[in-house]
Amino acid sequence: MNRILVIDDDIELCELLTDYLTPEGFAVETIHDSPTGLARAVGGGFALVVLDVMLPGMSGFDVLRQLREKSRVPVLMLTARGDDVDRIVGLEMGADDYLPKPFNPRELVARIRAIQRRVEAPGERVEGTGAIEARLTVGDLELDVSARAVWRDGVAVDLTSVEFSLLEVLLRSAGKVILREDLVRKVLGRRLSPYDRSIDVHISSLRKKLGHRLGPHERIKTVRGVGYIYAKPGINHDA
Amino acid sequence: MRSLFVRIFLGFWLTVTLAGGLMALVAYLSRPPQSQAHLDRNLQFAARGLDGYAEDALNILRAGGVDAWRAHLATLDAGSPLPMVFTGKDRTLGDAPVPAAAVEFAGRIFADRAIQALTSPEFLGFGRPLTLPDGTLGVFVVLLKKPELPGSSRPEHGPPPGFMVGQLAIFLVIGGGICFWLTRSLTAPIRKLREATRKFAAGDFTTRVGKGIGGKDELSELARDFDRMAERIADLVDSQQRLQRDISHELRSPLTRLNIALELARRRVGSESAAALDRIGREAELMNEMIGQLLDLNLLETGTRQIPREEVDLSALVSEIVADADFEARDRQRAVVFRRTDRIAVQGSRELLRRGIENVIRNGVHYTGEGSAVEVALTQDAATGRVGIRVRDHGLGVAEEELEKIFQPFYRTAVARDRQSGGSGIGLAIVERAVRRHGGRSSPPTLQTAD
Repeated sequence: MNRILVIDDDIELCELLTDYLTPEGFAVETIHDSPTGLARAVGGGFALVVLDVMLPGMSGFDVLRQLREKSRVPVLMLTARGDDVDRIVGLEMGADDYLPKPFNPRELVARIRAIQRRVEAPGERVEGTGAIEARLTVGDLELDVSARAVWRDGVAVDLTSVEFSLLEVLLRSAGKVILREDLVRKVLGRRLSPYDRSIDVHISSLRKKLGHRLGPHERIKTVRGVGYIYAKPGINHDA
Repeated sequence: MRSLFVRIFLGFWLTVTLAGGLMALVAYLSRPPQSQAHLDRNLQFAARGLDGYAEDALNILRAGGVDAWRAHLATLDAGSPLPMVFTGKDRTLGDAPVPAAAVEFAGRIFADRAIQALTSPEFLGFGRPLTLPDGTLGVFVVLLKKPELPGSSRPEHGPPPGFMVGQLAIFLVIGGGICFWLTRSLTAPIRKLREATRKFAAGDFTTRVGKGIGGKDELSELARDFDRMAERIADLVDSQQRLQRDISHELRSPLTRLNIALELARRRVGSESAAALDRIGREAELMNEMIGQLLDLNLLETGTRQIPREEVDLSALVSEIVADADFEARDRQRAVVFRRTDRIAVQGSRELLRRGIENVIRNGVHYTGEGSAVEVALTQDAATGRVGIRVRDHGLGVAEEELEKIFQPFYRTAVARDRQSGGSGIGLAIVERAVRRHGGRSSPPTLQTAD
């Protein structure tokens, strides 16, 4: 059962969303205040949480922060359009994606499905040849794909779900340039749209968490206007 | 710019100088009458002394003749009264050197045969007729040399000539110094006030004069009034902008619901309503875009907040925006081209600059003809360091009489209105404000004929 929790103080919006999402195959529960929403999100066994940033009292960020301490349930944030700071903060705090209000509900469904595909079938969307290795070691990093865990020099690194998927894609193509649009498609499961910097925000978080340098090289190098490249040990990409 | 300073300073100085000069003149004009007449009134007194000197002279002449007289003259100090005996109009006993003034004086006594006084710039003298031992008529004169004071040989007779040079210069310098200080104390607070006013007018509503002007005079009162006024205006602007921001935000809630209701309606009605529903969708999108731009404009006009300053690589920023705009333009068979330059860094807010640049480029994309490309160029003046962003579209251009207005919010050119091209009318206003808040200037487009 595809159970979704919507936390938004706009009651009418919640009703409309329920009307729209139910025929799409989702079982929607709506909560209009933060504390109840947080409690339900932690213990409700939902497949995904749609969380509004602008909640009265305890903001969506506070809910997300407390939720992430206890649960890895996928979260899609509803932000105010143009408020890039909100978006970036949300993504860095472990939201899986965001959608600015007002949004087209078809887009909402598409994003929910993209998140679920990524979470439910790790490794599947990675274009590889044949079997997906369960463990992946590149340079100082070691990935356990099925457990979605990362170690750097033997020390566990805490990554959000999206960051893990992104790192996995980068490592599988280490030493090769990956186009931004490919990254967006593989990691976020959607087409790159203009003015969308989500993938760059995730890259920047990855750099912060893993360290900017890998030996003498930049760990994740920006190829401006094109994409990103993860440094392959032993190969100099700075040249 | 310092004309007030110059005017007050010169005014003070001139006043002081004129007042000083006038006082000197009045003192000169109303000085006690120390003239020939005044001396003549004292001749009675002088005659007694003169008679004593004359008696001495006669005694010496009677006892020893001219030689004794000559010896007597030699014993006199340089500063003591100098007696002389004229035997004729230009002859003296003993052939002592005689000043020209004394010769002329003696001549007058020969003529008048009466006791007289002499005042000349150098000498004070008295003279009388004298019958010499040989029975001939002579003139006896006693001259007193006036003491030579530096710069003033006749202090008792009004302003001496030296006063005009030496003392006047000292007077002017001291007077000037006092006037300078006085003027500074008046104009310095005014200058501070002016600086604050100018910053305030430029949009920095946080400007206060504060403790910059101390004391309890009218100017410091004015400064406090300015601060109160600034506080009030900043509050008003703040609340007005907060209202505008809240309204814009609130408008998005019904718009969000409308979008969902629209998609629900699509599911339930047949294809005959599809065109109308599409139209509703487009209008909702336009409304949403306008709200977004109003919020941007609001952000840029919020003068009570300082914009954050960071180093922004404009070349990287522009190429990022161009990539996005090109992506968007491709759907409409248009393109955006930009040749990356070397790193050009400016100080400013990356976000505000992004919004400004994005809007001017999207405006170009909006109006450029189908199949054409919007060209973006970034230049930096080597001498001034000023950076220019030029956006060229291949559209219909803007009529000359409308050029000045295109940066006003909601102003739509005739072309834009005719084509119902669906712009929000706020984009270029955002551009202009974003550029202005970074100390720059937006110039309206110039028309170039197609090449």
